[in-house]
Amino acid sequence: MNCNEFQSLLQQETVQGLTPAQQEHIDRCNACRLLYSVRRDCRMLDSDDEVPASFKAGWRREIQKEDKTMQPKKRMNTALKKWIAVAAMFVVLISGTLVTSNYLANKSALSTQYDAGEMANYASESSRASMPVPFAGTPEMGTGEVQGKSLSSLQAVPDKNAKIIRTVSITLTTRNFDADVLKIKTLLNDQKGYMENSQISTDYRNNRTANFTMRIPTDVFGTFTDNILVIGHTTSVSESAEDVSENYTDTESRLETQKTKLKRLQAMIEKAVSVEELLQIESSIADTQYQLDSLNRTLQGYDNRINYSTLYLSVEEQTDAKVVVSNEASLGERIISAAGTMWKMMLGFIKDMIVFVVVIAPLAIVLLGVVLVIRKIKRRKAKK
Amino acid sequence: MFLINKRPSTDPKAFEEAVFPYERQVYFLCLRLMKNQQDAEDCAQDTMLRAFSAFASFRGEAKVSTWLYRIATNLCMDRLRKNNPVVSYDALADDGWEIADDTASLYDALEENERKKLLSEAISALPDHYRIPVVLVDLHGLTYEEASDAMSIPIGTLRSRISRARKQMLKELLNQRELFTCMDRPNGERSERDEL
Repeated sequence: MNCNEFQSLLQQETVQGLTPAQQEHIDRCNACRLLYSVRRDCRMLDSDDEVPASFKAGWRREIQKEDKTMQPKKRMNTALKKWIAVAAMFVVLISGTLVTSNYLANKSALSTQYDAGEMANYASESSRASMPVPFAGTPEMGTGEVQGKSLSSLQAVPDKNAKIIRTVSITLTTRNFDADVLKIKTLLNDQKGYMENSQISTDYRNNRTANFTMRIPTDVFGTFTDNILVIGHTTSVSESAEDVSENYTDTESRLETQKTKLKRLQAMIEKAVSVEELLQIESSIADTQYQLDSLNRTLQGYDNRINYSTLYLSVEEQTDAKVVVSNEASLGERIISAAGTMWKMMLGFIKDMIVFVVVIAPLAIVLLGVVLVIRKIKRRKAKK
Repeated sequence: MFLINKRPSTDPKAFEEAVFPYERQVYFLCLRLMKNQQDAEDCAQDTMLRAFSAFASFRGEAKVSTWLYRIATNLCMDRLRKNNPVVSYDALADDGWEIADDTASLYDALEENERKKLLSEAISALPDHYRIPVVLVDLHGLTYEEASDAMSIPIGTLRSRISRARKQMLKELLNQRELFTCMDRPNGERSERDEL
């Protein structure tokens, strides 16, 4: 054994002491023997000394102090964190439930509107063009007659050649909305009329209102309106008749004049001498043609309105009115009623909360996974 | 859903029970490293406080003693560095030397308290970064691995420092005039000493 081996074995020296090989080495090697003796004494160097009492008491006192300063913060932080977490969960749950309730309520209202079969439109009656009311009467209920006479018989046509544009507005209520609307459309088809505009809307009480703009051939217009007046309960009727004979005649005359002018201009083209003259004539022809087209359109518009009279019809659905007899309820009845209402509200709220929790569950699981991963990474870093 | 991060709290009683058996080692380690009682007490107390603060996160990967030694050593080294910022790693010459045949016998013949006194002085005379490994390994019985972990130095560096430190320590012992009647000089020269 050499000195290096001896010294490395010395590192692993146990209480039992030296091995025979080690003993043999130090018998020969003074340096290692001295080293061994020194090392032996080093291990015993402080064995007889006492730890000062000041140190013993001091560190115990210090950790008690440290513990007291740490505890309230720990408790406060932990308790505060708990309360914050609970409050946050509560807020999320309640607001989520309220949002879910609102969403479901809106969805239900929309589906009611779509079930009506028409696009929902809350245009008010005032959005319709107001019509002059030279004649207005109060129709008898369900008879289609005003003061004992039918509407058609009251329509005065002074001159067969007169150009009259007729417009009637009728508002009626009905308890059989769908059946009566179908009746109206059937009547329209039968009279060879057409629907120019149609809207059906629903109010907050789920009552529907249909607004129709119908064009009916003038020769059967009176009969048509009479048939309409017997549907449901008519609440208002108004009629106007616009005499456009003068305008019509005037437009016809102007049209003839323009036609004549056009013929003359076309004849003048053949006689044109210069290019300048030719261009001037052609320009005049273009203007004349434009005037002709415009006058034709005006006449066609008149013809359309004269030949097809207009009926603005508003059909309002009427549900049975509920009569509430107001009696002075007793305290017990009021409590029971209020309790019943509250119970229904709570049930509805709980149902909405369950829906919200089920909907939010996948997102919550994903968030939980992310939180766990982050915590694991933080712990690993702290360990390192 | 929110989760609350729950940490185990440090019970002072539990901590005291865990570290009380090593209270003595911690104090005497600090005493040998700092070389005066006041600094030793301060460092030892700081060691206990720091250990208490970190006790909640101590997972038991190492022995409690090793863990405490590591804290104490680092605290003492930091303080020594503050007091003696200039460190010379060439303080100990790695020259060869020999001792006389009867040196060991003469040493063994001394009284125990005399030997202890000589050793204390020899250890105190060592530079800081050599004294620390000697105290950890030779006085407190840590293995090379434990000592290198406590000092946060490679094990090879530790071995080298211990080797030099031991040689220096023995040299210091040899320089005690009361003990030896003659001594060898470096490079094999021999000279007779005056009578003590």
